[in-house]
Amino acid sequence: MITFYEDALCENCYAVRLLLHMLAVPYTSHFIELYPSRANLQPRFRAINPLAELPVIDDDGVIIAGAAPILVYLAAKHAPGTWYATDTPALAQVTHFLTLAERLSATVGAARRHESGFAPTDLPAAHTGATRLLRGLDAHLWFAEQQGNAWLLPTPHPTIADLACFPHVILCEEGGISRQPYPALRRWCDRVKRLPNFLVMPGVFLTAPPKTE
Amino acid sequence: MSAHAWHPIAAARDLPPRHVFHAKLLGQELAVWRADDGFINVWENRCLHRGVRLSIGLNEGQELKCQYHGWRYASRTAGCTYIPAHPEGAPARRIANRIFPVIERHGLIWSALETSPDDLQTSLPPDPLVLREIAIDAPAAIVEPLLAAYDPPGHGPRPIFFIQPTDSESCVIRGVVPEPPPTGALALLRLHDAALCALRDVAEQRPAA
Repeated sequence: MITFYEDALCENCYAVRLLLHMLAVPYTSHFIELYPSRANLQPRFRAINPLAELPVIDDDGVIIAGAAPILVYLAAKHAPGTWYATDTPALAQVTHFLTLAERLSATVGAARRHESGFAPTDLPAAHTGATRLLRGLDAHLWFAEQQGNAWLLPTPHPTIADLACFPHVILCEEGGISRQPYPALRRWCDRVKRLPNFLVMPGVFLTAPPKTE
Repeated sequence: MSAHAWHPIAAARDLPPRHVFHAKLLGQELAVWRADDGFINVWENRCLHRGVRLSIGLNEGQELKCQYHGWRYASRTAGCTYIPAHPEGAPARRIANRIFPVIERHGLIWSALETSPDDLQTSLPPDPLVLREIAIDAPAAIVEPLLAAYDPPGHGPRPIFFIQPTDSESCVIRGVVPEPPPTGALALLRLHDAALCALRDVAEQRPAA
């Protein structure tokens, strides 16, 4: 059984929680409150992850820390052909978006942690970086749609690339970054929300079910 | 930049079924959604109850449901049809959201802030190639001369451009290619996209006059 160290408001934990639910992998939650108590800095948690960061999973003794490595671990183990890529270009493409998600966390996420968790950051720099990344992602998805693709990778099934980026995009307005200039990102958010076993978190709302003919 | 004139506010394909599009025109936020019967609603982006943006609401096909307390508004009239806190009573007829005129034409969705503008006059074909919209953090007045000097990449056909003034500090370039070549549409879209993104860089670095 997996033990999942998480915080209810952490967007990186949300990415992992989404995949756990979509894969229907059983787990037990262990909540480590980031704000305001900063329980992640306690020796008890540092013994599990010396970086003192969430998310972390402990899969019967295999400890993995960080959203991207956990997504890779879970998807490669439980859904290699669908949620995780196995062929060469797709592996590189997944890695591209996992890296991009880290950059979103450092800009969009930093702005959100600044506004809601009082984590000091250079807000104008975070917004400038966020705009650059969100514009690139929006353009990528617009051209994906033009080619009949719904997801970040040109595959019929979504991948961990989508789940890694989604939390940052859907929570960006909590960091004072409007999604209004990014229509393709908003449509993609609707599509993610309609995936089976999708789960909300505070600040994330469901969309209407798809039209049935 | 008249409130009485038609402005493009979205591309037709921005309105897939069961989606609510978040638009902005001349500082006015709009919730734009296509009902299941194809009718396009352009409403003030604000629930009459608590003021929450309707663009985060649910497009349920014939009604838009507010995310906050579930007030429902009917397609076409924007009249409130149901208030969950008062399940017994029909909402008063006067509870209706503000609606704006709409035309779907040339692959674009057009609206105006004041009602009853004259019919939209363009000489475009019905189904041109619609470029990706480019949102710019610079006023329309800065973008206008840059677009006038736009040199189509690859000596291709020159697109027709419309500038959607989102507010006094930002705008959106919406371009259409009237007679696209029979093949290579994707490559053409990418060429114009790259050129317009470069134009945006110039516009955003230029101080407002």
